[in-house]
Amino acid sequence: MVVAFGLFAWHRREVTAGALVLHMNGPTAYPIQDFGPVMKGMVIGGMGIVHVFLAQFAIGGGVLMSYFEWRSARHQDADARLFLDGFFKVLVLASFVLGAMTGVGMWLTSIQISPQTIGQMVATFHWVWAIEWTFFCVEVCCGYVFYRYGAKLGHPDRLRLLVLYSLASYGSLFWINGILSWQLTPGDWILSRSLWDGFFNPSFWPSLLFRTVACLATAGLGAAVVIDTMSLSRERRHTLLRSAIRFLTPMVLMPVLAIWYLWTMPEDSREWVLGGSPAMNLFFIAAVGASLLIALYAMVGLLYKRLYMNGATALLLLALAFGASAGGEFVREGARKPFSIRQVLYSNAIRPDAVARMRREGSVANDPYPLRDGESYPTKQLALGARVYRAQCSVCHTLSGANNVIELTKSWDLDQQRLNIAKLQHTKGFMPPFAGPPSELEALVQMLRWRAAHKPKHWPVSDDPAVMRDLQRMLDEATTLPGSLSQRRPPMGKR
Amino acid sequence: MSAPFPLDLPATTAVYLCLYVVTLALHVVFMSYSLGGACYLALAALRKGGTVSPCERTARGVLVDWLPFSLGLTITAGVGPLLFVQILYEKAFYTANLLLFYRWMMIVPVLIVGFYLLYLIKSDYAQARPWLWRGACIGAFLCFAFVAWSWTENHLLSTDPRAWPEMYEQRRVVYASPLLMPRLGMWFFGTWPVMAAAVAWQLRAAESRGQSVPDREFVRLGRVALIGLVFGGACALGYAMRAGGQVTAVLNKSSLWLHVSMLVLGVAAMLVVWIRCLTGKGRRPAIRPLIAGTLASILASGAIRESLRVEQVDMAALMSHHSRALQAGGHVVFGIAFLVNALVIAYALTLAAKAVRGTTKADEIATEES
Ligand code: HEC
Ligand code: HEM
Repeated sequence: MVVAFGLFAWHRREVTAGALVLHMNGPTAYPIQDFGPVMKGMVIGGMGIVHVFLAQFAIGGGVLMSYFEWRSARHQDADARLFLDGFFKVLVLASFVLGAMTGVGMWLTSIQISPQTIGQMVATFHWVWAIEWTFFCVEVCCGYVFYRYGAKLGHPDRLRLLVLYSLASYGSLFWINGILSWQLTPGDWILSRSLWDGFFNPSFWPSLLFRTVACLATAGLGAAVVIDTMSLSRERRHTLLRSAIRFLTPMVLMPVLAIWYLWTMPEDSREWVLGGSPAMNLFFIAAVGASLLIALYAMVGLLYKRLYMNGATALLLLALAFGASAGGEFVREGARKPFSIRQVLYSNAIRPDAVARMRREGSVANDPYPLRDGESYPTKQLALGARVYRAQCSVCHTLSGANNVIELTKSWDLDQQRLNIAKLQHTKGFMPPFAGPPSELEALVQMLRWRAAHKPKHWPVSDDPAVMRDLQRMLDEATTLPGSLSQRRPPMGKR
Repeated sequence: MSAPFPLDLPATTAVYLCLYVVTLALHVVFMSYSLGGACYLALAALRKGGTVSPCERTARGVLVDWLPFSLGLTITAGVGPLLFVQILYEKAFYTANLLLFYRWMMIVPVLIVGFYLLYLIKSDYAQARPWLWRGACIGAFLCFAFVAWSWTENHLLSTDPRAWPEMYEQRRVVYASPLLMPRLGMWFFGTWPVMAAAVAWQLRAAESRGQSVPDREFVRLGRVALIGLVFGGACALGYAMRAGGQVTAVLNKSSLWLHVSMLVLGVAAMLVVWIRCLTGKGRRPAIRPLIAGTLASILASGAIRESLRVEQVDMAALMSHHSRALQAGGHVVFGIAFLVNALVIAYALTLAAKAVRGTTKADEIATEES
């Protein structure tokens, strides 16, 4: 790690600015997946939560085991050794199997949700990912050698293996953290296109430290569950427990780290989290609340009052920790809106600098993939509307389920619908600007109305030139900039 | 005469291709052990009989003991090529993933189930319940066979862009191709000789530590390896025939002569070693030429596989993407991380060897005392 650090400083100078402008090919370059009533964000979020939680457990677990190994030798503590062997079995079964596979699952899910996003991330950071992979290999090898031969090795060798295991698993957090935080705050990378500017971006350190604390706390709680299952006297379990619970102490830093993290966030994202978006705000509050509960219980009950924690309580706290991670992951995923990579790519795979061109040329003109329900549209215009929806909206909305766009627009009259969609980025700042000409906008509006009317057999075509001129004016007023950057205009039709 | 593949291509593309082929070869080594090994156990389980303990020094015992780790390595080693394939063939790889959709995503839960089944096979709980043990062996094999089928299907679909729009429109999540069965067969039977070589090496190592291994174990492994080579070769032939002139045209390219010779030599080495083992008196395969032949064949066939794909996709369009990608930076740090971490792994392995030696010594002392 130290070597790697020194290298950054040196290598940084080498990278030529502006080296990487990626070939990105709009939303229609790939077949677009349809998850029915489920929002795509929920799919990736769901997989992410499980993976992040397991990874946290594995990373914190390495440190915790190194500590117990050290303790067992230092204090001739046979119980610590006994615990260690039991804990490691859990770690292997949970983290080697589920952790590794959900990691692969994350990758495959990202491809399903947005190949353009993962493509851009891989193009920019594949060497960082390759570095992470070498750490991952060390983690698996050291972990398995310990698992298999640990019992036959003396204390110094055991400790060395565990420390290497911990360093490697922490290393993988270190590397991936740079990539994930870059998605929200690409920082100087936007101008310099220098890898290390992107990697050590503004939210890198708060995010890394926050995750570090979360890792330690998760491992401490996991250890408490394992300790409770050990067949030792209550007193001896209590001694072990008090050592494990120390891993929750760093949680006192969480408020500071959270504020630091929020502070490095872009202003609009911070606003979503702190109340601008009710759903995101709720997740944020849930995450903060759950973390507070855990920290309070650990500090007051266990460290100060020296209570004993039984297995059920430990499990409950672990579940709370899971909830906190879940809330945190949703906030992280959600706060990026309307971008999947801030200032580089909108969630719907449209690049900000492509919007103006798409306003002229259309967003689905070159779409090679037919509609799956092409037969059901009575007119070409409606079918066009369906294509526009698929390309521009379906990444965040459904037509019958979560964040259902039919429901959201049902109570509006025709003019309101036209206006609010034309000025999409002002209607809600976490949506990208509409990226098509008036004909596509009108087709989309008509498709939504036709669906809201339960798909009648006949539907008039709407192509009045006066309407098109009107729509063009609204689109021009909206500008092609994201809501956070362009002048904020209140959406007139709605309020 | 052109330089050997992939050095006949522009440097940046060649860099990614080299990394891809080498990391994929590593994946294939472990994958073969996992898939071939699970198949070996499943076949044994089908023939009734008791459970096999991981302590038994037989081919099956070694497999029961080592399969969980080998699957872990298969997955870990799969991440490397998974990364580079995305740089190399971005669009084709992603599109195939998307079209196969949940059928493709199923490899994740299926592998998790397979993984736990391997731990179950090794556990005392299943050891005491033969029906459960046999079921788990067969189940694990089916899981891995499903995953192998998925990768092959994904690969073939990725190189057939004409099929994409229709697959999408009709929501088909299974891609039927006349090439699928021969290709899958090639991989499937190809895992047998690799697994046999690895297990033979493990058994020989056990012998060198003073444990005794019955002759029939090596005979069985030899048969499995030979059957795998013959049937795998037949499938390769079938694949070449169904693919039309494509395969022969690529094989005749001068940039591939090195790889083709390496493959021929590697397979020849395996054949000779096993035939001598089966017909000779010692009944022990010569491990070094066996391992060398196996690795050479894997590496060579990986490169040939890749040069076939390079012929099929529009490489010219991708090359500029590769050279831009290389400029993204970070490769120097990668090189260092790779070296340092390889050393760390080597160190961990020396600790493992030390533990094994320690046990052997303890055993010797124990035998002497008794
Ligand atoms: C980056 C994700 C994203 C994209 C892309 C997106 N939306 Fe939205 N949209 C949202 C979210 C989140 C909401 C908020 C839902 C809520 O408040 O319950 C929303 C709300 C809406 C609303 C209701 C606004 C209001 O004030 O009540 C409409 C209408 C809408 N979207 C239409 C669209 C259309 C049409 C498209 C495609 C052209 C689109 N959206 C693309 C995320 C997105
Ligand atoms: C038991 C589990 C697995 C089996 C049996 C297996 C089998 C295979 C097979 C047979 C191929 C060759 C496909 C072909 O050329 O037709 C392949 C390729 C590949 N595998 Fe695996 N695999 C397994 C797990 C994994 C995992 C978990 C990963 C990812 C982390 C992975 C990554 C890859 C990659 C990237 C390729 C190359 C694909 C391409 O170039 O098209 N494999 N695998």
